[in-house]
Amino acid sequence: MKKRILRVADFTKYPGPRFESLGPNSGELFRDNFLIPAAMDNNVVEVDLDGVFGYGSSFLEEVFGGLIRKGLRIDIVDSIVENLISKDDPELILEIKEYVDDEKLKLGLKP
Amino acid sequence: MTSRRARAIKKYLLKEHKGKRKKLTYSPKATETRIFRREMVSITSPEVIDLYGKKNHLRTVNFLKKIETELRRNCDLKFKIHICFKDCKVITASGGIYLKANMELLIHKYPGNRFTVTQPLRAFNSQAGAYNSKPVVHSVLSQIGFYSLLKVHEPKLPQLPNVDCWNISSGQLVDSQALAEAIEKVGLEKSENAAVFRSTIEAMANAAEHAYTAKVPRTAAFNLEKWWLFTAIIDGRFYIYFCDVGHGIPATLKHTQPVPLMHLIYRKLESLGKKPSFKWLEGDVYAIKASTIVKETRTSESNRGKGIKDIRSLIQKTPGSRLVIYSNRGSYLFNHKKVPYTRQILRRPGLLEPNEDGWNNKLSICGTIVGWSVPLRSSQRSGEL
Repeated sequence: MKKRILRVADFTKYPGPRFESLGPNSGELFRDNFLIPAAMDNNVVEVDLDGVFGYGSSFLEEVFGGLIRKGLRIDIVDSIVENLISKDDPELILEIKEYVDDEKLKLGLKP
Repeated sequence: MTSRRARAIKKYLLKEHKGKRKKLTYSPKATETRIFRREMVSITSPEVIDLYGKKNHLRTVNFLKKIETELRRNCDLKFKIHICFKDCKVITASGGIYLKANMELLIHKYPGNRFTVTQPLRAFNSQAGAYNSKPVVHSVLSQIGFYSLLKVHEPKLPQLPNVDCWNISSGQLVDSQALAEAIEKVGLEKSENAAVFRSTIEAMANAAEHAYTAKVPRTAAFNLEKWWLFTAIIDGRFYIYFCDVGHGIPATLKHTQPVPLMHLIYRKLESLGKKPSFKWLEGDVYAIKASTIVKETRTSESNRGKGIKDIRSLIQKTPGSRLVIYSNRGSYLFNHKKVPYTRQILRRPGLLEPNEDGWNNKLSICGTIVGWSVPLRSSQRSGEL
């Protein structure tokens, strides 16, 4: 079973805006260039949210809520969300789950 | 002197001389010198450059409007614009960033103008019975880059070491690293850094994404599409302010949020008030208030606009802190603790919560300023005025 740990701190210490057009270190860039390829290549992906200066909600929503908008399978998204690591701020995991649940509601799925 | 300039001077003189008995004698060269010596365009700043409070807000915005009027008139006359700060005693954080951002916009919009500046006098301290030895206002103007922006000679007065921590930067795209470095300089705890960063990155992202959006109809394109970031430590408090000179929250809100969500927001605001009517939902301050509850009211129709609640999250977690949002005519305050009861009863009941305050001003700042002030612990204090 292939497992990969993806550290946001390896992408950037200063997570930026939602879209690439708004500035560097965007959620869109991290999701499309790092998270989705890792999810396609591995059975389990653990995203480590620690070690960065801080997060804006737009960054988190675009990374994780955007996985569903990009058409990733729901079970893969659920697996990513279940394997999130955030020792510095555990509330981030609850927040990310909210964003994913909101997107599921849009598709008519149960959160 | 070119003929165009001569025509402009003649037109100016005729306008000034209208209604007077003495016959106008017109000699181009002599007239130009006379005008230059006697009629130099001069604008005096108010005593307090600040956006808090209706009076200060009106005087500060009027000051910038006068400068704009003279810059527009001066396009053909090419006189030097004289800005006089001799009466100015106080520049606050909101006033400072508003002044810098709008002067930069005006200089970009009306290029080729020249300026002279009368430096601010040292304030008279009535309790001490003497003039303040510290040139505070001058130091502030110097530190925010006002003199260099106007390309005027900067008087060599002693710089206050405590004003050195004032900093203004600007940009067009979201620069999370620059923001983080500005916050790191203050020396907060790691969790506090994250909380401040969370609130402020959203304001920066809103300025970059929504402030100048083409979705809002406008007769002319923006001359300058930038945000300005101001950070300072004053009297044991950390101030961080964002400014843009865009459409303003009242204009952009209905374009950035879907219509059903807006109806939900207004219904929620209505339910807080006693009078079931949309008449109370008027004025820019209530649009600002509506923008702060987007995240709480969101439906599955919107994945956007969640950031504005984060703007309040820092205040909710930090005792003694305050958030201010000035957008167009609205002024909105969100405090960690409740507003005094005497202030509460003056407001329309229900539409603002006990720890909020807000009002509409006479003039619009034509943009948005979002600011946080957070008290520092004694171990973090440095650079107190």
